[in-house]
Amino acid sequence: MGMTLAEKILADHCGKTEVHAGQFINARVDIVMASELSGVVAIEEFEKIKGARVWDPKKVVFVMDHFTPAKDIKSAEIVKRCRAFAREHGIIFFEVGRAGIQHILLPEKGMVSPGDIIAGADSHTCTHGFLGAFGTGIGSTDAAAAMALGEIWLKVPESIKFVYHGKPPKWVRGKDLILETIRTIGVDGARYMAMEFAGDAFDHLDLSDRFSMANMAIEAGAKAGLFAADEQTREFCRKAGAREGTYHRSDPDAEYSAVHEYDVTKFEPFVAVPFLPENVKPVTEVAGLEVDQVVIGMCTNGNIEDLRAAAEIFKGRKTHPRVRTVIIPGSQKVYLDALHEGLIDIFVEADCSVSTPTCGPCLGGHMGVLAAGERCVSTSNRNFRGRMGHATSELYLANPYVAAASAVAGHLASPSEMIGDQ
Amino acid sequence: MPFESFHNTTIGELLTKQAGRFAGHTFLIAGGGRLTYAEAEWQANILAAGLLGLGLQKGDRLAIILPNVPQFVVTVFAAAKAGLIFTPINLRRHKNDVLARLAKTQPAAIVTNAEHAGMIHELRADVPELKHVISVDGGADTVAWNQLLNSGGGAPLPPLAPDQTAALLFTLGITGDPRGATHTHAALVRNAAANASALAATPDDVFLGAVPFSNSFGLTAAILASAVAGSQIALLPVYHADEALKLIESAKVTVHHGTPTMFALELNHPDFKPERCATLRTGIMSGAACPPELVKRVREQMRCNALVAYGLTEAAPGVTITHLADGPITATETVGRAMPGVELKVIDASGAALPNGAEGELCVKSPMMMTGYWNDAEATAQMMDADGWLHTGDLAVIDADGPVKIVGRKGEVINRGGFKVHPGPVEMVLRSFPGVKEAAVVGVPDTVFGEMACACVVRAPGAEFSGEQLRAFAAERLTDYAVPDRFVFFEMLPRRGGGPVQKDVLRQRVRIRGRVWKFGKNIDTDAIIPARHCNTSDPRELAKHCMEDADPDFVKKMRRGDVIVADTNFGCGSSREVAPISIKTAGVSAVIAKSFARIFFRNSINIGLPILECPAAVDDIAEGDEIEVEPTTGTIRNLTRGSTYRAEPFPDFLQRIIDRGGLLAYVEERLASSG
Repeated sequence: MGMTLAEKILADHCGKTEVHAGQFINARVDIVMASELSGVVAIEEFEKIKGARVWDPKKVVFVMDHFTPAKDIKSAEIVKRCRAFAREHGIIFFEVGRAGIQHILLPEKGMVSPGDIIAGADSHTCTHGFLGAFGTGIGSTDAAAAMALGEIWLKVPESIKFVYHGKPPKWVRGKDLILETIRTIGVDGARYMAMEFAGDAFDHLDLSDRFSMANMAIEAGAKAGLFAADEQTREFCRKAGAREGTYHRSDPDAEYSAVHEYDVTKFEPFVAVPFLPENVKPVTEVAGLEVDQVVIGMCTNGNIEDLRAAAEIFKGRKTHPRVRTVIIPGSQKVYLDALHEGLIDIFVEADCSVSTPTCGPCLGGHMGVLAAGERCVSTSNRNFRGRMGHATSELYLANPYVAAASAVAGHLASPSEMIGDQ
Repeated sequence: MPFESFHNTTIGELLTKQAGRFAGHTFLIAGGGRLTYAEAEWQANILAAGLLGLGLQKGDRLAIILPNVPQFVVTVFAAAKAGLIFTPINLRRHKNDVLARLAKTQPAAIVTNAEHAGMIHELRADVPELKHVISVDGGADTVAWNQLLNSGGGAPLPPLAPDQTAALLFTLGITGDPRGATHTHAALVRNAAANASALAATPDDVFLGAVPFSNSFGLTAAILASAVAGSQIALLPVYHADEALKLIESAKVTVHHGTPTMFALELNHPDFKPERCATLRTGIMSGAACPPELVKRVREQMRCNALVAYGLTEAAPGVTITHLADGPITATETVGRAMPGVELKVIDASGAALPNGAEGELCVKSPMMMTGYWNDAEATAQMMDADGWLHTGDLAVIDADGPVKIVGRKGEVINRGGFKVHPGPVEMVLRSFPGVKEAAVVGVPDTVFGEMACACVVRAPGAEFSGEQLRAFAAERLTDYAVPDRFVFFEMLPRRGGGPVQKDVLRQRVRIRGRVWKFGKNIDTDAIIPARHCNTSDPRELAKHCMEDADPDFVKKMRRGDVIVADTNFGCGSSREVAPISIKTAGVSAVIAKSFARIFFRNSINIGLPILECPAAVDDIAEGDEIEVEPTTGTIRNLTRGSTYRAEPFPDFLQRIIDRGGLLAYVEERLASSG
């Protein structure tokens, strides 16, 4: 029986020639990753294991990104604990000034290759599927065990295939493709499944679009969100200095629990309205709703391509006087590229605040937490009740064009209506 | 009574007096060497002065993490002479357990060895009071024990009274938390004198120093009792049955203390021969319930008139002990009579004292009791009442003529349709079946009997037998209603911190009966947490509040044993264990879910919370239904609706993770097996 992309990667990591959905396996991992938030708990768990040593310090990475630069004494202490552990065990450690959001940073540093398994104590680890790697979120106990053994236990997920046809119109990006996908299948539509994305639409999109889509696979309940690695992937990995990796393809007779097809030529920018990522509407349907804050960047749309998109709107325009805009590049490299390309100038001149890389407001942490009743357009991935602050605040998820246009207009706005479609 | 002169003395005076009386007589036998009473006294005095010379002051704590070596014994006497409060820690304890004990007692110095000094340095940051790490055999950043011994003394030793605190001895509370029982000099020495007296010990005796000196049995009944009698003590640094047998033979041991397991290991050892133990005269079997058959074997095969004692760390520890002249029934089936000075009573649930022959909770009062748990008034108040009675939690019967029988643990008695079953004796029978490594009997809810007995059994490696075979074996030896109704096999039984089997956990592994709380897909802990707690960035704090956020009254409403039935999205995206830890803390015993989905589920398994995957049950069960769940068989019974469902079985290794109480234990096992 043929294997899906997910099954091939997993078989490759458990010494079997074939695995199929439903099987339980212990899989070797290529990277174990944690933030300070999950890392500090993982350390406590790790130290409870008698006789444990880090199985391979070069494959264990701590990235301080959630509450950093330390927002309070507690986060400073937590980072300090992680730093000391990293030093003691010689594992790879990134923090302020040398870091970024883990899912952007690791691929950029050449630490992720196609065909890898990335076990990250962060639910958005599925992001690494944009390079054809099986990234999956694990808990801190899992992370502790993986640090000691270099393995995680898994149930091989079923796969569900999504095929996107055609050239997307101007202003439509990967973010819109995934939002529409979650609308059609619901927030548990891919529950414990691997979402496999394919189609000729990606000939017209770039890796940052794949990044946003794989990133949000978890919002449909998926175990992983995968793209088959191709020449675009190879080019990215070559520039990043990554290992060659394994370029798996699904077998023609691989079994999928469902196949969904989309004609993206008919798409327009979408917005997920409170309080679930499945409540997706065309931006034109919600246009006009006043906003208090706009946040652009973080992991889902924090790549340089995303900042370029935002700058395209902001250039020569200003944030509406009633609105606060926060731009958060996904890594130091993205920040520097934005600086070199003049994007930061555009943002500052447009009255946007530009932050150091951090997860910050996405989880209601810092750098733009919302007050009661405030409405925010964000390029992040979750709009659950209270996600960015007060339980009565509202979060609208959108692509960077829509977010920037809304910042300028002072209300949810379609970039097409603001600028036209050329 | 002999040794009465030691009823009100300090530990230091004890050694000084004996050094005067038995100066050249051997006290310690270790390896090829010997230390006389005079030498021990001299070393203890110099070391005491050396410790004070380091800046330690009367009342400071001195931790000891050592095997049973001469330096342990000398350090105990030196600390006592210097007015330091010594607090021994079992050297087999894991780093985190050691830290918990150090954090609790904040010692100013630790006496240890090179093997453990590294670990102590790692923990130093969390023990701010710790100034010196003293090592008996070197190691970086340590003060050499020998150097203190060569320091020549100097500092005058402080005056001490027998009622001053001498030691903090660790014991585990009900939840496995360490508590330091605080003992005076007088309590420990008097208890040692009572032990020596029961053993009729003399300077001609040679004690076996095999029980770890870090616990009260080893400290009081071996070190101090042998000193009281002017006897010798042969030290076994770390226990192995063959080493013990060799030492008994070579040192001509006459007094053999040990736990029942130690005696069983020696008797079952292939090299055991009665003539190797020819010098044995007596000894104390204690530390765990003592099967009568084992006492008989020790008396017959080792030809050792061993005494059976009952005690608690809080009581110094000796409370009751059999007599050398007791008849065979008292000697093997009871824990003897109250030691001199000890008052006993048994009480009913209301706290009223019961007449002799009635079964109730055993309470102890004596001048040898702890003064309380170190810096823990709350735990002390739970254990000791206002009149000074220590409530042991053990169920006992005091015979009219004095001997005490321990029949079980309070809270463990199984009421099987009106008949009371005590797990202890049933467990002893099951353990005597060849091939049974461990056995624990727990009561589980039953529709007909109200409660029934379930035997949880661990087979020895390679052993193969069925529950039916074990049932037949038990039926030949037990009253019919005491024969367990069910036999469930486990790979291991849950324990915490090396303590006894956690029966509450085990009970829930077998059968859970509770009320259902049903959660749908809109419960999302990850999302709601930041809304209410955006001022905390500490995931560990979030765990405390997580489920309260999902439903503000959740934690208050939960009763222990309740079950969560979860629709698909429960705990969506939660990348940490906040949700499962929180619901486990709230008392939830199991989760039934539609699918083996998302991080929440794997996290539940990883922390040992049984999760059953059963879509049909999730659809059919309503909030408020009473259900019964058997995690080991995957059976779910809806008692409200009368329906039964079968959950998808887990593969063996996941079941092992749950049985072990979590992923970490599984990892430890993997690491150990890979060397």
